[in-house]
Amino acid sequence: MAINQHISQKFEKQLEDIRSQLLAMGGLVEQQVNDAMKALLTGDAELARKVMSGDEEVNHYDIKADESCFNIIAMRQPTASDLRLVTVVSKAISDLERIGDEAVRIAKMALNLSEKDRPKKNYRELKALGKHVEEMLHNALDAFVRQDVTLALEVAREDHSVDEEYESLLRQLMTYMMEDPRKISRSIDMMWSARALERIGDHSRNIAEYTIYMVEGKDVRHLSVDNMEKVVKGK
Amino acid sequence: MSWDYWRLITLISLAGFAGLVIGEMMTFLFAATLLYLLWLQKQWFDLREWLNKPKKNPPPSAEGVIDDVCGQIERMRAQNSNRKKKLTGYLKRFKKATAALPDGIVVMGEFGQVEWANLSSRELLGIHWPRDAKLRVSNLLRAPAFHKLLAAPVSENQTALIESPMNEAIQLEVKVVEYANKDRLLIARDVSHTIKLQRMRRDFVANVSHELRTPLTVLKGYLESFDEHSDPAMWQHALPVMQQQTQRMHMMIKDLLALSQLETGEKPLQHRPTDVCKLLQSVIDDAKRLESFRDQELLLKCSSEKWLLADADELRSAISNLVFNAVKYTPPGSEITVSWLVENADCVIEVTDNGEGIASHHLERLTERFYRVDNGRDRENGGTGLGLAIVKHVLSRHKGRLDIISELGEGATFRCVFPLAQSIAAANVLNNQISGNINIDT
Repeated sequence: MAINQHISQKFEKQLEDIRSQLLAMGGLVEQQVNDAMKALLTGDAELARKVMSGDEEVNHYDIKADESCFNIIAMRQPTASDLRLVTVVSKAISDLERIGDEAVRIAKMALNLSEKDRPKKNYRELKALGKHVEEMLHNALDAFVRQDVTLALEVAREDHSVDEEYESLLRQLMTYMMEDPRKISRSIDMMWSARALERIGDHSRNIAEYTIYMVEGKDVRHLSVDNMEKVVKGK
Repeated sequence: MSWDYWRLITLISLAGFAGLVIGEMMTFLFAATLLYLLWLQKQWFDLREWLNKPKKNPPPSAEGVIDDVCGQIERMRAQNSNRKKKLTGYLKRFKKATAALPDGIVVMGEFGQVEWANLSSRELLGIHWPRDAKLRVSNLLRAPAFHKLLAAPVSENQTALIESPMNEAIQLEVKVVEYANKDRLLIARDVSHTIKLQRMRRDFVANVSHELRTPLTVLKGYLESFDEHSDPAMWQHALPVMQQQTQRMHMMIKDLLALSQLETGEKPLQHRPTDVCKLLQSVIDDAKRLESFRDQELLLKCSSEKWLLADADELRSAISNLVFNAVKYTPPGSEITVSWLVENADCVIEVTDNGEGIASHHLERLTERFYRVDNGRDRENGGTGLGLAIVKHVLSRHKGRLDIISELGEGATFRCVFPLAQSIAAANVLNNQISGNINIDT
């Protein structure tokens, strides 16, 4: 761990604490996404409602963690890698908060769908997409904890294939809708869920990019994955 | 001690004597004392060098105090290195033991950072030691349930149930124990098996009550609608139905009792040579007389002459269960093959049909009591839902096992696999029979 010993141990602890706050929020958001997907796939209305009410806690975390970041900036005037950590945490918080919102959106669709009759097989692709995105989010947070640039790059690469899966799911749903107009309302709900998942993938990629910035001090936003890799390796 | 005195006294008296002869006594005495002082100083230096680098430098050697001191230092050193060896040995053994523990164990410091973790925590929790040293455990295990556990006071002895981050099929029971003033120990145990057993038990109780209630409801319904003035014609209609329902309950209770007998092993096993081919033939004959027999083609293939050491009654009930199931669940005109064969180190009774088959995700739970592939289908056919459970237990009592191979639309194969040691050549049986050693069951 490349954290230099600070003269003030209290400062050290404060920095570790905002890191922990971010990850606790991350854990909660992960659970929200998992539960929302479970509710969607099993038609569990109860679980969907739980996810929707759980967003309040996510928002609470958001406000609290933001405040801690401001406190550190105001009181300690961090520099160099400490400053990077604080700004990255403050940015990642807003990404996590958005992921939380997307989870609520999925839960709403799950509630809608649970009231309609449900064919089983159409959910398979959505399930695969969900698994993929859940894994991305998990890896993005793991990369942040371990300051693991390789894993962060992998997350960024995964985002691409999630986008592809999303596109193919859209095409499939469009075919369904053309075949049978009675399926339109259900397909739209599923489309929204897929869209939310795709957004979660994007936010996870953002978190991975922040991790690279925090560790390497190099801004890799808005770059393609290949260029990102080049920048990280210093070419 | 005396060596040092003698050395000094000899030197001084020699110098004094020489000085007396030459007439410069004070000079000689002074020179001798100086010499002795220098020699002593050199011994001191040697001692220091030797202490610093014991392997490179020889110890100062002079009889007397210096040798004694060196000897004692040597002894202390040997003692120390022995103790050190012993302690490192203990530590190594301790580390090996904790590393081998099946539970994941993480030592947490004051702020919950990883101080040490054993090998199992790598597979169960994804915490690698030493890669994850000094990272906070709460950052790695982010499940909200776990965070709640960490926040709760340790004295409350709470546990949390979380999914393993490495494999979502593994359920972990996590516990935190305080062992030194601020150090805590995190223990994670794989409880997926226990949870599965709990679910099975819950399902069993729910199922058995449901299965018994259905026929009872029918009986109760009839009984409530009858009184002494009711029409005998109604009785005539109701009686067969009531009889059928009581018969079903009777069968179910009989099966349950048989199963519990098999499980507790109350009934002693009678291992006797059994002619498998004859037994299979008689089971097939019984199957043809079944109510639900729908003109399937029943084939018998005996490709082995061997007999099986088995309890004939139990074996017959197991095989009948398999064959009757095949008859009940295949459409008319299907083919059901019953075979007896020897394969490598096993002998196998195989019941194969070319019916609808069973989807693969059912296979694992098929031998659970009352497990139904298709709700309702079995009850129409009058099954009790206990047949395969009985087969499984009978086979395990005969050191055998039940393999089920099936795919949807591909038919199903039920294989009763016995070790070859359970079988016996037919010729031996006949010889022994003549000499009257063995009783034969067929």
